[in-house]
Amino acid sequence: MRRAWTLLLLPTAIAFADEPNVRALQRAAERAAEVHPDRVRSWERRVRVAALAPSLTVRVGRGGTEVRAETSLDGSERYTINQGDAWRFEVGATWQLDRLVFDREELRLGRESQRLAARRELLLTEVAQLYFERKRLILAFRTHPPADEAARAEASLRIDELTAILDGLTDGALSAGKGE
Amino acid sequence: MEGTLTPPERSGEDRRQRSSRLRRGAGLALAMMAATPNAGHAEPPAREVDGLVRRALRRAGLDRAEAAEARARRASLWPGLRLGAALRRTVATGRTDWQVSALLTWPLGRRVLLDGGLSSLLASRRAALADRVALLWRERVAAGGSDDRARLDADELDAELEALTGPPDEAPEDER
Repeated sequence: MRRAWTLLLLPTAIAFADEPNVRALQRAAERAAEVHPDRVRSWERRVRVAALAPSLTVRVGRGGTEVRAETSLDGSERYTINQGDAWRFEVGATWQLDRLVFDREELRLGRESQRLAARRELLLTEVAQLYFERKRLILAFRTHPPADEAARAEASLRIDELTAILDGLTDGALSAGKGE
Repeated sequence: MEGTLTPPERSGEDRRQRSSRLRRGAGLALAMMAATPNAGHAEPPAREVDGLVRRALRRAGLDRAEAAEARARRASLWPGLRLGAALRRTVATGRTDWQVSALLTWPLGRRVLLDGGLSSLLASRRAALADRVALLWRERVAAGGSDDRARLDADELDAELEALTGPPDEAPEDER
């Protein structure tokens, strides 16, 4: 992690030159928390595709006796018994066509996608607020350095703390710099 | 709704003052737009805030027009379809029979759809998101000054707006 004192001592242009901007940090936080909207779109796509895929039934059997009843036009009935020794193969495919219009999974998906979106909005807002709080602290320290040692140490500690939180939320993107 | 992961403190602006402003809602924000003179800043066209709200709603998956219940009603008219093929081979005679079939079934007793409060959740999320975007946009319009602090405040508001609307390069051409 880049320590606060390097940011406080280096010239402004150099201090911030290697740092990612707030948008890059927001994207990194989105990736780290896996809350990108594409994730929800992928779920929706899979629900739709799942409705196109049928349920398959395969049945194989052998043997059995067949009883056949035939009724003639004059009303007489005739029964035939076949001692069968036969193999039988059956394949069936079933589609629930209503799922192409609406799938009940969409309700669960709707709730989950809103949970994800709310979490993303809070997370990215928080990243923005922390990023700018840190930047304000650094600029304030450089333009009006605290007079006493304790205040300087406190400001430096807070900058380190904000850097650590931002790194935690962005999987280390802030300390990794622009290269990552 | 979830809480924030860590409670950020803002040095540039009093958080309590800001959060009380956030609660006033878009109606008040839009009323303020009309009532407050904004010296030094031209009022951006309302189309801009419309576009931002639309982008935020789309990004949150809140832009779908048809409610789940309406589609569920329509879906209940659709049948189930079963296609089958069978092959029978008698061992003694070597005779082979085959059969194909198609079966349509309408389950008339389909369960009534209960969305478990999803529609009200979506409605409240939609309203809250539109309010928040409108308010941030209003604050961004009002952000004045050209010193470092004012620029940082404006940049922060832009970043908070992007947290809701997504970056402009992900938006359709007509909403950027």
